[in-house]
Amino acid sequence: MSREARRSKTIDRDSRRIFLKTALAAGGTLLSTRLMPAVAQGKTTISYISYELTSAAAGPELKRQIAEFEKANPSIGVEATPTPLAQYTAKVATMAKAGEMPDVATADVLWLRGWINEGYLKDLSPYADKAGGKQYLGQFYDTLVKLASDGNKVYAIPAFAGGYLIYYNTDMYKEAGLDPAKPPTNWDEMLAYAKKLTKKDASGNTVQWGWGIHGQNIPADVSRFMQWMYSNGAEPLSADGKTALLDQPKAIETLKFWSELYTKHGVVPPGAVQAGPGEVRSMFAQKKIAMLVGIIWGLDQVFAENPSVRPVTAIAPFPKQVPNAPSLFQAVYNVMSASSKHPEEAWKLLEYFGRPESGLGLYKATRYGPVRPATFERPEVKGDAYAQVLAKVNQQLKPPPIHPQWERISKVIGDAMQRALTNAKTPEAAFTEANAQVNQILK
Amino acid sequence: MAFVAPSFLVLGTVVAFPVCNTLWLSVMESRGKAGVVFVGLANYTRLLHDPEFWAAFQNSTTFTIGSVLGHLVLGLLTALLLNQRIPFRPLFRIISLVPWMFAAVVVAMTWRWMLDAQLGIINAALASLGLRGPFLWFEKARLALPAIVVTNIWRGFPFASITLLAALQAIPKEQYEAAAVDGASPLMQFRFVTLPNLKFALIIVATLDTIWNFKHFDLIQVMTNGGPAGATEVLTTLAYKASFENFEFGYAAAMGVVMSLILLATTVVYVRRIL
Repeated sequence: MSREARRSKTIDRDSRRIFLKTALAAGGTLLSTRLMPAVAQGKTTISYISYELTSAAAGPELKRQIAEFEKANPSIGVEATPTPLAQYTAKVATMAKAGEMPDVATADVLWLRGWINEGYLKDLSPYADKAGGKQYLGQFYDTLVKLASDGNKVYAIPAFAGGYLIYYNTDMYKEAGLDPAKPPTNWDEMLAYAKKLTKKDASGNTVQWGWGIHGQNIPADVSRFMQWMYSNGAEPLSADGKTALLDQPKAIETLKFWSELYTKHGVVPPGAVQAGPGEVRSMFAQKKIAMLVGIIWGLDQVFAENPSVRPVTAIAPFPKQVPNAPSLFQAVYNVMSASSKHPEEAWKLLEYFGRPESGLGLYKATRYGPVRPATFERPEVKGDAYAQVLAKVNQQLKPPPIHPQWERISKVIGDAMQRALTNAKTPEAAFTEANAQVNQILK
Repeated sequence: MAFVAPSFLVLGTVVAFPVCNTLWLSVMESRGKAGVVFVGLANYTRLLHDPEFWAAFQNSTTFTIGSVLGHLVLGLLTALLLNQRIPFRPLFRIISLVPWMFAAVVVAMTWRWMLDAQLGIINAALASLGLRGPFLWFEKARLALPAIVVTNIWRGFPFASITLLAALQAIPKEQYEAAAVDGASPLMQFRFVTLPNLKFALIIVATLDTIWNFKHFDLIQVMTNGGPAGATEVLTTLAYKASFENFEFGYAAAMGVVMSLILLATTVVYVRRIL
């Protein structure tokens, strides 16, 4: 063999050795991190994913609670993963399908049924029984527990909740000759107020609108529309969830009134189809609109954008078109992954988040609605005017429609809402078509 | 062989495995806690009868054709301009690449605000020109998709312009000189010298652009989420909703397979042209 050939062979052999060593080292590191992710220095680490961790208000409070939990439970470490809401459900669904869902996660009530049906979540009943069973679960609003249950099994612990209500600008009320102490109590008043609160400048351009509409086809906006439905005594589905009721007079009347605020009365700013919760709150913060339907914890986002609106912002129960109409509520829960390898430790974190002190801390930091009636009697909450309105709203709560196919049904309703807003179809035609589509889904 | 094996391993992992997994998923249906069940071609049959799928297919096709045509026309015009002896030509060449440098999400958010009915700069500019508005770009079905196509043209034309510019620079000057001697006007030179020499580059750009735009997701998802009322729903956003909102992973996988077959046909054209 020539010198060059020997040299080449040596280089090849050395390169192969380097390659194999590197591959072994990388593989070994990967294997070790996969096999021993949670045990370090005698500590069990559990993973926690939440979009609330990305919130400017809730994030710091949750991190504080996690630090407190770790201090109280030195053998448990919590690895928190903040994930923006826009990617949250896709990320969790992907992780769950791969059997890699974090031990503890946040779940909005709108996703809960789907997650339960897909088998993502662990039954918490055995843990709740050890914690006190009915006495433990009885401290929460009954409706919240029912929504988290499937038969006798409970799959989630309530974190925060609140009924929809209206925000309104008291200064704009006064300028329009309205009494801020008397917000609208029904739809006729709502329309009359909205017209008075809509102002034009000298050139005839509208510079202030009476109402903000949520017209995006996203679950949060469809939820807000459901509030309108409930306040009119309308339902999207029959009680057994097998038949759509969108073609009923009350449902069509709701869509007609709601869309005509925009298409006929001109009390809603342009761009309603693109307006989601953030956009509408922003318009309120910028004093472009006088009223909107919202949730109590959206207030701090408004105040953060424009602190000057804080003293002139009031809230009130959503106007009822039929007597005793309930408020639809939004709720968020904490859940345990069905594939959690540390269920005992994960339950401890769930239990910690579910304590009255944790809920109170969250309320004080973010105004996230308490999940226990008893919390409203606490001195820190009793003196809060906003909390007292929420307590009144929470007396008549109704859950959003709970159905395994609600995501698909919500999209159909959202499409109908947008068709009515854009005059692509009349409200009657839009909901009649939607009704047929929903009945197809329900088959 | 030892040094090629890792590449095959990586390709096998990131290409073959997902493809096989998607094909497998497309013939299955998720039944929640009951697990997944084999359903054969049921997902594909459902696709054929699903009006939403066909509407999304139509939107995908419209979006692709509009974007590709826009990229080619604007790209060619830019390339022709940048091929001229103009002052600060290198600087303009760099500036022309700027739209391409931004992430799709950033472009989508920016243009969404620019096209906002109330606060958007585009409506303000149109109003200053005396045009009656406001133009509800994302509320009118006939405006929403064109608005997204225009955004996509702005973002994607630099690829066409840089590729065509390279092709332009490869055209021998003698051909233009000969044409000029024969009395050809600039327009005739463009038609009989430039275009024939650019044919190959144009085909490459058009084919690649068609593939990229047919499976485009980010701009549409961020700008309109498929609205209003499905007017801008394309196959990718529909598949996303099917999987992550409706938990219909099998159905979404079937959509993915159909899209891949369509793009495969386009790829065959590309490969045959360049080989």
